[in-house]
Amino acid sequence: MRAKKARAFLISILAGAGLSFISSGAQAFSFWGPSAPLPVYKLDIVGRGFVPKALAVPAGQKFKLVVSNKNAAPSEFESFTLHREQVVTAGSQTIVFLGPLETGTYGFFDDFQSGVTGTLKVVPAQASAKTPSQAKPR
Amino acid sequence: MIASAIIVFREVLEAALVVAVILGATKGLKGRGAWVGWGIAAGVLGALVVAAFMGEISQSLSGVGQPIFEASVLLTAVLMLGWHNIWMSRHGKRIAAELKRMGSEVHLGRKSMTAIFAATAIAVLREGSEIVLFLYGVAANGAGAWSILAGGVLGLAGGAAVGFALYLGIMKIPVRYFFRATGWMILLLAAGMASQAAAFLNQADLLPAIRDSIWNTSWLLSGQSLAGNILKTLVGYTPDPSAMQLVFYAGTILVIGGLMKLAQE
Repeated sequence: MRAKKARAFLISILAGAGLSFISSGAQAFSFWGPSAPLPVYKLDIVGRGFVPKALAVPAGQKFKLVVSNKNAAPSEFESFTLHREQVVTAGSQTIVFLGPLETGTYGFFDDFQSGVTGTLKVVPAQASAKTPSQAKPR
Repeated sequence: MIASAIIVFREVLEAALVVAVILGATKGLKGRGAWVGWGIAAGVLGALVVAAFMGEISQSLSGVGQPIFEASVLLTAVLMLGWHNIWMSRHGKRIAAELKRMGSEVHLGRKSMTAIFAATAIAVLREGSEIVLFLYGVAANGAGAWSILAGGVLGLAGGAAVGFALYLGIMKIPVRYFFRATGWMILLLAAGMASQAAAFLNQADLLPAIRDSIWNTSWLLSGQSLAGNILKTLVGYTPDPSAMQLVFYAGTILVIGGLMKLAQE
């Protein structure tokens, strides 16, 4: 039966793709292969605000943003321009991978607390002082 | 209360639109109401469980467990919707004929209805867990129970009303074009979910974007607007998609659409 074959085909494609991503684990598998550890930037959610409210990061390189929620309620780090949407449960932290980004100002907000916003200021790499090792973009 | 109403409305709307399309596309199938109904119930239950364990999910896989979870759930839904569509392209003509002749319902296998059940449950689970977490946060911040309840009920009613309107609209499609139209709706729904999954995998650093923002139509229709949100759910509208999102979108249409052609009677 063609339908049966077709179904099996579809299932194997999608399930295979899904499973390989999950089973490979987040850090063990990076599309670009093993690379130098990424620079880390920290962002806290404290009460009704981000600390720092404006965070400067270098353009043109990948980095890790560690978002810590210091509150007793869950938050969601979200940004339309950065295409990020990640829950940070009460008193925990989450890792948001970002970049390489072009220079400019990108807004983000807490989707679970209306009016709680912050900005990411992406500046030319040289201008942002001591960043750990110029990780090559891709 | 207004803040609760708005966020609950937004999440319920997304789930309701998906459920409306599924319910519309299964017209003429015996027992579809029960399967979709149980799917909603399972989704609500699943949302509570996911919300309760969100801390553990989020901390797993080196701190990127949540986007990976979202992507896996979305890809499972794509699989289920694809399965349903391929099944329907095999049996759609027969169902349409039966409907036209005597308006009676057609009994399809349990397996194809399980896909309907699962796709419904997943849609409700995804949006529902956000609602639970958000309302929990509102409560933790000391808002009164009545204000939360009122906001929640208002948002739920609003979202469900829009979903119901879409369902009524779908049911108005003439029988002649019905299954072709709903087949496309399910296909675009699945493609949009695949594109969202690509975005989540990029967020977890598992997949490159290839290139960010191939185009940007936010001047025309913002992704935050009501219309933008509705189109995002129904056809995967993103004002500034990455190249990888486009690959996933087109790939889903090609693979499922190709298999539908193959499966046709």
